[in-house]
Amino acid sequence: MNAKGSNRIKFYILNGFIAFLFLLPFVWIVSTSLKKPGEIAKYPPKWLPANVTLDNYRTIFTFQEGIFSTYFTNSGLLTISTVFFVIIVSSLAGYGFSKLDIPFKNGVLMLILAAMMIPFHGLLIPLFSIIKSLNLLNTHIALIIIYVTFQLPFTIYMMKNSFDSVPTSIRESALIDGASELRTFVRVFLPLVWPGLATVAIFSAYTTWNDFIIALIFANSNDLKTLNVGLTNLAVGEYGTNWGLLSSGSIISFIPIIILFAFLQRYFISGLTSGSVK
Amino acid sequence: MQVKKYIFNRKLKFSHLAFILPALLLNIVFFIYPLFQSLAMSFYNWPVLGDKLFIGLDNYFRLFQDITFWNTMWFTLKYTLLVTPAILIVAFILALLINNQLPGVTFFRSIYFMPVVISMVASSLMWLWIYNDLYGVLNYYLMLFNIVQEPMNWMGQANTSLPAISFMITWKMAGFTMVILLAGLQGISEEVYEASNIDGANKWRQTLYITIPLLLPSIGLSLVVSVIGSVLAFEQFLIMTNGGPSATTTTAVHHIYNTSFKYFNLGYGSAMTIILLVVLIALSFVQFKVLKDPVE
Repeated sequence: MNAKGSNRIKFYILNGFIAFLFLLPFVWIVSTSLKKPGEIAKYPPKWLPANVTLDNYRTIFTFQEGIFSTYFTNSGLLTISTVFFVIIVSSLAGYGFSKLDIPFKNGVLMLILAAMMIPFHGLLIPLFSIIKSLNLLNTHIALIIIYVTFQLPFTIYMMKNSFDSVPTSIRESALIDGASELRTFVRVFLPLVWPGLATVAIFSAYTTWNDFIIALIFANSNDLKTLNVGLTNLAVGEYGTNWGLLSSGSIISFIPIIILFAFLQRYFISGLTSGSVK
Repeated sequence: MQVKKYIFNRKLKFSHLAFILPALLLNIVFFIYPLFQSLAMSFYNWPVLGDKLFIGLDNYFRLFQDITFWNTMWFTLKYTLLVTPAILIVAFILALLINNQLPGVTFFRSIYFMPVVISMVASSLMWLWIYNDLYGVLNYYLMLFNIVQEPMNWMGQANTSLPAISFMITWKMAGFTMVILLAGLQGISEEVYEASNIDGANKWRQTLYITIPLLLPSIGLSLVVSVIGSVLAFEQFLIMTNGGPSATTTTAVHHIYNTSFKYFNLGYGSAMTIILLVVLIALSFVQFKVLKDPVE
C-alpha cells in the first residue's frame, strides 16, 4: 500500500470516529423523543427505543391548549418578517453606499459598521426604556425592530461588498437607457447579487430563529413568546422533568434550521463565520 | 442654466439619500441614541416605575464595592479561560482532519458544523439531559466503567457544572472556529510543504514549524471571536444551572440581566453594562488589529 492510500484510510477512520462522537448527542435526544415515559426513566438507558412512539410529538403540540404551536408560529413569523425587512433595508443601503453619490457617504458607512463592535447585550437597558416609551413593550414589532437594527451592520457590509463587485458602468448604461434609479436597482442589480442576498437571508434567519435574550426581555406575555423562550420556560416549570416532551420540543425547534443548513450549507458557513469575523 | 443644473443635482442626491435613509434612521434611533442613553442612565437611580434620580458616579462607587458583581466577572473570566483553549485545540484538530479534497470531506465538515447551527437553548437542553443525575446517559457510562462510584449531580456545584458546560460549548462551537482555521490553512501554499518534504521534515515538525506559525493570524482571530462569545455567555448557564447554587455560576451578563430585568434597577445595571462594554470594545479593538496587521 502506498502512502497516499494509507492517508486515505486514516482520513476516513479518524473523521468517521470523530463525526460519530459529534452526532451522539443528536442520536440520544432523537432516541429519547421516541420513547414512552416509562422507558425514558429506565435504568440502564438504551440507545434505541424498545417501542417507537410519536406520543411526545403529539403531546408537545397539544398540551396547555397547544401553546407550543403558538411559540412555533411566533418564531416563524418573526423570522420571516425580520428576513424580509433586513433584505430590503440592507440591499437598498448596500447599493447606496456602493454606487450612489451621497454626501458624507464614507463617514455614515463607518458609523453604521462601528455598530458591529458593540453587541446588543450592551444596549438592552436603554432599548428597554425606549421601547417602553414608544409603547411597544410586549409586541412583536419591538422584536423585529431590534433584530433588524442589530443585523444591519453586517448585512449592509455584505451587500455593499456584493454591489462593489458589479461594474458601475452597468448602472450608467441603464440610466442612459432611461431607467430610473429604483428600477435600475431592482431590475438590473438585484438579480446580479443574489449570492450576497442568500448569505444575508441565511444570516438573518439563523440569528432571529436562534435568538433568546431579546425575545426574553421584550416579549414576555405567553402568547407572544418564541420557541426558545417557551422551551426554557417549559424546562424550568412543571414539565421540567418530562424529558420526552423537552426532547421533542428541542428537536422541533432545531429541525427547520438544520433542514435549511442541509440545503444551503455554503451560504450558512459564509454567513455565520463572516458574521462574527466581519 | 447653471442654477437649474445645481437644483437638479440636489434633487438627485436626495433620491440617493433615500436608499440609505431607512438603515440610517434605525441605526440612529435604536443604536446610537441608546448607546449614549446607556452611559447617561449609569449616572441615575433609574427604576422602571417612579422617578429617576441623578446620582452622579454613585453607581460606579457602589459597583467597585459590589462583591457579587466582581464574583460574576471572575466566574466569566474562569469560564473564558477554560473554554477558549478547549475550542481552539479541538477546532485545530478538526481543521487539520478536513484540510484536503478527498470525497466526503464536505460531509464531515457539515457534521462538525451542525452543533453551531442549532440554538444555544436547544443545545443546553440536550446536554442537560445527558448530564441528568438520575437517568443521564453520562453517569451510566461513568459508573459502568467504574470512573465514578455513584451518580454525579453535575449541575449541583460550580466545580463540576463549569467543566461540564464548557465541554458542551466546545462541542457546540468547535465547528465554528474550525471554519476560520480551515480558511487559514487553505491559504498556506502547497509549495512550503513540498520544500520541507525535500528537507526530510516529518508531519509533526511540519505542523509545529510551518502550519502553526503561518496560521497565527487565523488563530488570533478565532481566539478573539471566542473570547468575545464567552464574555457574553448567558443562556447556557441560565438554563443549565440558573446561575446557582447561590450565584456561584452566574455570568456577568446573567447578573446584569437579573439586576436590570428582574429587580428593575436600570441605572445600576447600566453601570455594570458600561464596564462590560469597555472590556468588549477593547477586545474588538484587538480583533481589528489582528485583522489589519496579520503576522507575515
